[in-house]
Amino acid sequence: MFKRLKRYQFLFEELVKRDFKSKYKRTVLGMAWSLLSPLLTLLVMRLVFTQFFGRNTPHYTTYLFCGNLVFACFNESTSQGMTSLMGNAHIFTKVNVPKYLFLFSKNVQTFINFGLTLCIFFLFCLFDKITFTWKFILLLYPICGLVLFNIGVGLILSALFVFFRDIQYLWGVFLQLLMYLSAIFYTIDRYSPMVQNLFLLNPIYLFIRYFRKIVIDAVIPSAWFHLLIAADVLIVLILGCWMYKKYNTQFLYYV
Amino acid sequence: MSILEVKNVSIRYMTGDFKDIGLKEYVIRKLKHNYHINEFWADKNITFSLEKGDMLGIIGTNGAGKSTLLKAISGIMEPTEGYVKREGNIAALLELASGFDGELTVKENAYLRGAMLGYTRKFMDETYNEIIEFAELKDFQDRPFKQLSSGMKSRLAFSIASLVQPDILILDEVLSVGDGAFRKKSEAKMQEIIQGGATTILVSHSIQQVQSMCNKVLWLERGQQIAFGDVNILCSLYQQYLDKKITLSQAKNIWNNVNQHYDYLIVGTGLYGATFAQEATSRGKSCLVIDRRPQIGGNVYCENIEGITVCKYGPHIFHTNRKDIWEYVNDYVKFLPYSCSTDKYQGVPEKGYNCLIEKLLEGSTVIINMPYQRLVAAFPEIANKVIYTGSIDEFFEYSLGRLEYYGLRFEEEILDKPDFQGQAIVDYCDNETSYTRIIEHKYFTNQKSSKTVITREYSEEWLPGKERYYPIHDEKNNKLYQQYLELAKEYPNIIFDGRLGKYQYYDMDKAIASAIEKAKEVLE
Repeated sequence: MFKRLKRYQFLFEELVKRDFKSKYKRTVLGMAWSLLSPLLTLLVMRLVFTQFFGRNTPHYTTYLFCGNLVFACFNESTSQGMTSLMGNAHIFTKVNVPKYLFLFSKNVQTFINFGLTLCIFFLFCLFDKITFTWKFILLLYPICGLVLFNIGVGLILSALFVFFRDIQYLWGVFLQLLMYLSAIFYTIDRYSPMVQNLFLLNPIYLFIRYFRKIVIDAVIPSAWFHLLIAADVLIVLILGCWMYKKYNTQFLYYV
Repeated sequence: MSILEVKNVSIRYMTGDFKDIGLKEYVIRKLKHNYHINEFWADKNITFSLEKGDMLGIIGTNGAGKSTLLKAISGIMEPTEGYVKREGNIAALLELASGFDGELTVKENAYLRGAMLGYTRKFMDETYNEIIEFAELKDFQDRPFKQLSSGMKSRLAFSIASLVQPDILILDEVLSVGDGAFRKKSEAKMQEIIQGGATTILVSHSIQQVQSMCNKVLWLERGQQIAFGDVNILCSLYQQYLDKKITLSQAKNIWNNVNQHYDYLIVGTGLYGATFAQEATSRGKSCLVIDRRPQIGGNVYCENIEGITVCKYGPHIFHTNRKDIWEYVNDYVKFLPYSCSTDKYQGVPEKGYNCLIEKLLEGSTVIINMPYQRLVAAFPEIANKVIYTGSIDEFFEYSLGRLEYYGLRFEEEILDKPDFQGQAIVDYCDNETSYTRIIEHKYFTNQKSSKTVITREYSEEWLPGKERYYPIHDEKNNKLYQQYLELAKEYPNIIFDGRLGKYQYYDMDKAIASAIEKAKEVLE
């Protein structure tokens, strides 16, 4: 496995470079665009929802930002990851390369975006008078989890996309719904405990909640909460890898 | 130990509903039981193996399954059935010009392509200048790739790809890259890699290219393996198939037969060769008959032009005094009376001489377009005995000099009128006319046609390479022939006979008679 990675390292680097360049090449602001979009969403939400939810939610800006940060990352990574395999059909039909490299390279790019947004997030935390504690280190857990989760979902989606092209639209609709279900701009305190538990079925909500717990409440989530996240990540990763393994030789027929 | 083994490889493509419908439609059709998949075998049961240093050419018309097979060999595709076993690393150069990114610069694309081909960054750093130099794109290296012409794109692709030092090299139509000058350069480069000991697989639509570069050929047609083996014979068969001279099953049949061992190899399908073949097969011997020309019949070959049988190598009227020979030929075809000499039996076959030759060759395997040297180079042990009816000096590659002949030249003309001279042959013996006679072919057998075909016959000096008609029996040539006969003694298994083998002029009856006698002599 390690040897294989080493062998494709150069290709992987070049793919990342290519994805990066082709994304930012012809925009004036370059990478700033990809930062601007989550910030604008944040701004709009802040303006619109403060009146409804903001009053009794402490650090509402940070609260909102936590949600947006995670969700935007998931959104971008999966939407772009979905087409990554198909978009490189002209390569893997002619050269024998591991097909997951295309998805990985897309994910590297979205992760860099995420990292930049994360920096701005911390800046906002400063403005929002959040106290930084050592517990912030624990944010690495949901970040790693999210990255792996994105890859897992990306594997599944990009494989499905080869077979069913309308997945793209269905996924768009699904993301819209998911956003409303992820308690990004509202709190779930008002729901009954039963409904509140249902929210835990949403992995995206888990990541968001982890962020809020650490950043706003300075509380470390429970062990089973960690396990829940790990379970979600593992399930999609295993499913994604299984799909790639199973359909690896069949992608060719569908492009 | 073969370096590449392809065993019973079959590749199935699925066609039908699934390709263009989305998930929603898929679910609906599944529920309605209205979902159809058809299968299509792009390749079926392909089996061959290559040794180190082999150069395989894959031939076949469009849609034969060549590119799909290459994908299976290079590992891009898994065969549906069968397996591919490779020893060593493999480099596949498939459809070169595609797979680049138009937005990136030439240099960036070069690195990306290099990475795809499995090179290391260090290697690319070291060879990048060489690549760009070879592709002649130094001035373009920072331009976006999409601004390049398609020729430039393939040039770059080729330059990167040809840096490989693989054990197995796969080339799909890559040698037809760029303009004439670059093509030369690229071919030289390929030769260099091949000389480096790589086992190479080449797909090309140029038979000449395959013939000049490859030593083995795999012939595919609609996914079926027609043949795998010697390049010369298969290229010859393939060319005939392309020219619609033989059908696929005939080609297959010939190929399967050529892999056998024969009692007799008869070189030349003229009257002598065909008669000998007939005599031999009727005695239960197996015969392979080859001819260098693209048709059978030697100099009695006829063509049908405007409904008229035209003898392409001069008019032939069968005349003989021997009753047995006359009956012999009349057993095979019907002759119409035609008189030209004082012989007892005279005539021309009603449907031309081709019919006679075909009848005589029934039971033998016939390959046209096949020079003797080419065949024995590939199959030295193909037959126990050889009947060589070609020119004896040619057999010895003119090592002692050329035997000379009187030359003839024919000029054929199709006239848009039913009659020209009212008879078959008019001789011109005067000095003013450059031709010696005019033949109006329709009058040999009184064929009806609204047009007529005439041939003017000129006598002219014979030059090497031209058709041989009449031997010149002077002292010099006779002596030379005797010297060649001495050489022939070294080849006890080859019988030099017939008109050219004996350096004699034979009338047709004489050719047949001598073949029958020879057959009696060697077969009984």
